[in-house]
Amino acid sequence: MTTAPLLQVRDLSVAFRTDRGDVEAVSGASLTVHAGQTVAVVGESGSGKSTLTAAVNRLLAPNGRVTQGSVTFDGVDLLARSERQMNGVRGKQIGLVPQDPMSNLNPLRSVGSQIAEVFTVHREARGREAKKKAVELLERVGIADAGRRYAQYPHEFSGGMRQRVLIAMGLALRPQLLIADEPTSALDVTVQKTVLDQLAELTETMGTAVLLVTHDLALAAERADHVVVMRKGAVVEEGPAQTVLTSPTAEYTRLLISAAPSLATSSMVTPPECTAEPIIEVTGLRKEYPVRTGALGRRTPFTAVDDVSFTIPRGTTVGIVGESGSGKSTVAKMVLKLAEPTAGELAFEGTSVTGIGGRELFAFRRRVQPVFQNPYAALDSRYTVGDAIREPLDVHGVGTPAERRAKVAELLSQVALDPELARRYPHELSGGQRQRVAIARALALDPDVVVLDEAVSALDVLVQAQILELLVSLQRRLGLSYLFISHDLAVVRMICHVVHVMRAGSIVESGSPAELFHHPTHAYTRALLDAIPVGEAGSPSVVPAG
Amino acid sequence: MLRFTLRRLALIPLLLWGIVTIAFFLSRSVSSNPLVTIVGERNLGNPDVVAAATRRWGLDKSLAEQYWVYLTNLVRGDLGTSFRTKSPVLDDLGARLPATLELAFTALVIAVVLGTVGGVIAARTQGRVADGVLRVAALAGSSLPVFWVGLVFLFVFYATLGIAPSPGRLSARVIPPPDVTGFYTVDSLLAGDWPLFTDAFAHLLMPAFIMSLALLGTVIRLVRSQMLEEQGADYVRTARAKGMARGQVLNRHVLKNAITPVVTLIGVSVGLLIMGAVLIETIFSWNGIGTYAVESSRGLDFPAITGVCLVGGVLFLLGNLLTDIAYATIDPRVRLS
Amino acid sequence: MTITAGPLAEAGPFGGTALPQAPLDDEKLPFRARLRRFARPQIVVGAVVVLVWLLVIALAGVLAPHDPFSSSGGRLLPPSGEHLFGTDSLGRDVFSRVLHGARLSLPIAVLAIVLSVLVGSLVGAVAGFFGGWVDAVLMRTADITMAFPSILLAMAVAAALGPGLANAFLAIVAVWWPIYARLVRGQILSIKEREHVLAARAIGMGRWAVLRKHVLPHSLTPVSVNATMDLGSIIILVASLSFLGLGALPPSPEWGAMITDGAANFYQWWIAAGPGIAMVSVVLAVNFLGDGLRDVFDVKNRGR
Repeated sequence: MTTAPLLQVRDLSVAFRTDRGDVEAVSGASLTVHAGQTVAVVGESGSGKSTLTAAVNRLLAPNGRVTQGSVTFDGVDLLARSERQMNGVRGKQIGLVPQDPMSNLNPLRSVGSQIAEVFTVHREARGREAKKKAVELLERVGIADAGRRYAQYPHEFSGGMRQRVLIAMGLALRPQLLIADEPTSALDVTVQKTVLDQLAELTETMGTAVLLVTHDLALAAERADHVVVMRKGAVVEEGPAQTVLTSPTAEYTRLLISAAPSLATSSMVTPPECTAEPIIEVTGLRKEYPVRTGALGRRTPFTAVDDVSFTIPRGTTVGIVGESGSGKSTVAKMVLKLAEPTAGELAFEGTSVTGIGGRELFAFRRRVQPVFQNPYAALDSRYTVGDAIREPLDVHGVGTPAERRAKVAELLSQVALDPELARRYPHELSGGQRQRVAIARALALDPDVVVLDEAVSALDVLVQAQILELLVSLQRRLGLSYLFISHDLAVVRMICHVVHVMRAGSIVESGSPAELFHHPTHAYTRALLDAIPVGEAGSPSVVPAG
Repeated sequence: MLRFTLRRLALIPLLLWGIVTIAFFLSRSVSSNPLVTIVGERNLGNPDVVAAATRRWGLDKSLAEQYWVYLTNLVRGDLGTSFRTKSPVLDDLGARLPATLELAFTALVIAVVLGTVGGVIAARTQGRVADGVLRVAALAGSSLPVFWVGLVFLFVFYATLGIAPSPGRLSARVIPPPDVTGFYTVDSLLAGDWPLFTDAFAHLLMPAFIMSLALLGTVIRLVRSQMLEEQGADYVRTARAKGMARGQVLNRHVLKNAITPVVTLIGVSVGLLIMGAVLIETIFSWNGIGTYAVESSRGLDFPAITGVCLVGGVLFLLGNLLTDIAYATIDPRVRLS
Repeated sequence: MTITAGPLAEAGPFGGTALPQAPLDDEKLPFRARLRRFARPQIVVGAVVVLVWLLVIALAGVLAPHDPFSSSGGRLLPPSGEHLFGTDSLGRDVFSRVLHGARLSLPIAVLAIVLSVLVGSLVGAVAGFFGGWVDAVLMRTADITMAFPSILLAMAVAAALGPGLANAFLAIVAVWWPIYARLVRGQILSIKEREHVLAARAIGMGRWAVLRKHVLPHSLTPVSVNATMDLGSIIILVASLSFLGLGALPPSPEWGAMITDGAANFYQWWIAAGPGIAMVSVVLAVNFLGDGLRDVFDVKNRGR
């Protein structure tokens, strides 16, 4: 294209003033966006992708500043503009769709008034006129009954709806450029797809250029014309989406591609040779919570899990996939006996363990251990890594103190961590390291079963891949059985032997990953599969058997 | 919404019963003899007088019996008769309550208005001189012993400088307005008596201000911290991305969200104000519940003590209820849960 | 493949991160860096004044120029070189009485808050952790106590027990413990649901052990900050009770009682001024300290 670009960022560097001195978040980054083009900025956390876009519309946090470089928008140097002039630019020429729809809307004001505000602030319309335009926008982004919903509050909308409201706000004045900062990362997978489709349709119709920030390379390649890959504040690669995906030049990009579950071509596990006997057997599990609803405060039960049955054959990984509210985490808690089922049976090694307590429960705990989702919350910040790993041994009185210390060192090496780390505190470690510590702790008592509840969901994609590899190798070496809970079907496919799809408390489909991916029978499974971004706009995933 | 209010109202009788019981047994567990107050020091030696008084005031019955009598009377609205004034406690309280309420209400208004303004200014000028001064002032407000400040103010502004009027609700020899609400300020306005109103108001100002000090400090700090917190909220950034200037965002979004917690203070402040009332009224010769409480506890006037505790408890619980309702009205999330 | 330790993900430029934010409480930075955090003007000023008063408490006998209990000059003398704060209605040196009064007012207040915190925390922890009817009973009791305007309850208890500083102390503890019960209970309820508590349960740890090792330590910070801020209010409450005649008795040089004396002799302003200024200075200092501490822990907790 020989026309002048709409947005031109040259050699931009941004630094933040912190307690520990100046931290550079962006170093000499450059990118270009042409009118009507969609450019995706991809990177892990700490890559500087969000900071970069924040610098474009000059909404950096108070302790941040641009140390060098230029940002030229429509021929004008944005960094030189006054705050007042920028107010005119924001919303009107450059729109923003931020990430978390709950915290980004004022909870005390109606949704409609917040959209109408865009018009009034830029003096495009006032009063009733502004309201009319806002209602039109709500309809345009696919919110039914827009006239009535105008006056409702943010918490009365679902997550996906709120995101659409934010999109409406961002596109209200038909800006030339829309910055979309991880617009769907906080949403359920099936909702993500519909929202992104909506966004794409709108921007195409309006001819808006989009600067899309995401951590998902496949999503970026699917939705953007041009992809920019960032790492630790610098741009490591850029180019047309398909080129970057099929023939990447940078090593880092290659790593990202190979680690991305949705782009993966083969599973990490091989199916077991013979069907092993089940080590865990779940029959007719049901969990109800009493909830007060209705005007008279009647207690109607809320069924979180409804008649769920499955088995975990010894030495295999059983996956449970579902979105929020599917009940998968509740199932995990019941298998761990951290929650008691309202009905149903749980059997371990053929013996029923439903409703056991005291000594039997204590013994059970040694055999079934958890790894939770949030690596920052799962370890008590007041104890060292070594204390955390040793605690299960202390509680169960395993060996002498010296033996326990040795075991801690052994466990740390098993999860590929330096035994020296035993003396550190959790906050000194990265997310991936903490999760390894959590795994080491789970292994301390030599359990037979490990329940992993969204154990890799909070990790960056490269770290995620490493942890998955670790889990697979541990399974092979120690003969562990896993119950793997996740919302991400692509991840589940890589590491599970059997997958159960859950929705609204029940299992809707089960099978091996290959079966589910090639021949899904249930509509919901199909919807989940569709929602996986695969890097090629519109093409279904092609996964060889394995 | 209705259910919410009803549930809260239902709790009140339970709490009140608890208060009454505690107050009753506490006051009765005193070692000194209440008869001193009833019949006077001199008559204590006279066995007939003592016997008659004991019978008349029900002091010959067992403690449990006395308790039961008290409760049954209470339900009928009879709070007993004061040992000191010899008139029904309910009447005593009724006569004195308006004075205290007038004082407390004025103090509350002063604290909320001045406090909110101060807090907003402090938040807006964060880090600069004005903010620092206001924060220190807020802290000082909560650090001052109310009764001592009262004395100081009286000494400086009344005794030395002569600007403030003498302690008391009205100047000496001034006749109070016809009793409609019991609030001298309101009643004098209703009677159309402007000079009387000015007099009553002038007398009200200083004690009310001093009473407001502790609360004032808390409001300033709360408003300031809430505004600063809201300013960092995500939706503020989104608002700015729409093109709103910093000041606009402050006024249209942050302010309302930040003021809401001040509402919660109102419930707590009742306790603070009652404390202030007890201490201030003594110094400023204000004939309200506070002085009644002090005199009653000194004179071991059981029914009066229990009555005062009851009134205090009711006010406190009502204050909390009002706060909850107000909160539910302002925050739509609470309403619908 | 070992990953070397790296810096925490900084708070994003827009104020939020895509990943769960690391809680920054109980951060164990190098000691000196941690100490620097406390070098705020409020904390320094507050600490210095508190230290001065601690010295006064220790050395009152030495520092006071006159005997606080006997007359050392004429009655109601205005301040002079001999009597820095003048003399009171019985001819006693006000300055010396103020210094000795510190020995009464301050330790009692500290003891009161410590006991209130201990009792309240225990009740709140048990109520919050075990829930059920235990929670209901304990919290109803706390609610009823809190529904009493504190001064009235304190007055009632003090009246029942009789005058005297020790009884005033008990009255205050009776009034103050529910605040900490509520505070700690709220803390426990939120900490209870955190994943590290779940993890502790999952390895088979007993409930009391979990409470002791994994829940209570996390509630220490807000409780101690709150206690520091409450100390000032308690000092004033002690004085208030004495002022009303329910606490310290004459001839005790307790500050509240001295102010009563000053009110009786209104035009001899120095009698009330002395103890008043002393009390204000201590309470202000303690409040500064508490405010500064709260700022430090707040900042750490929010990472701002």
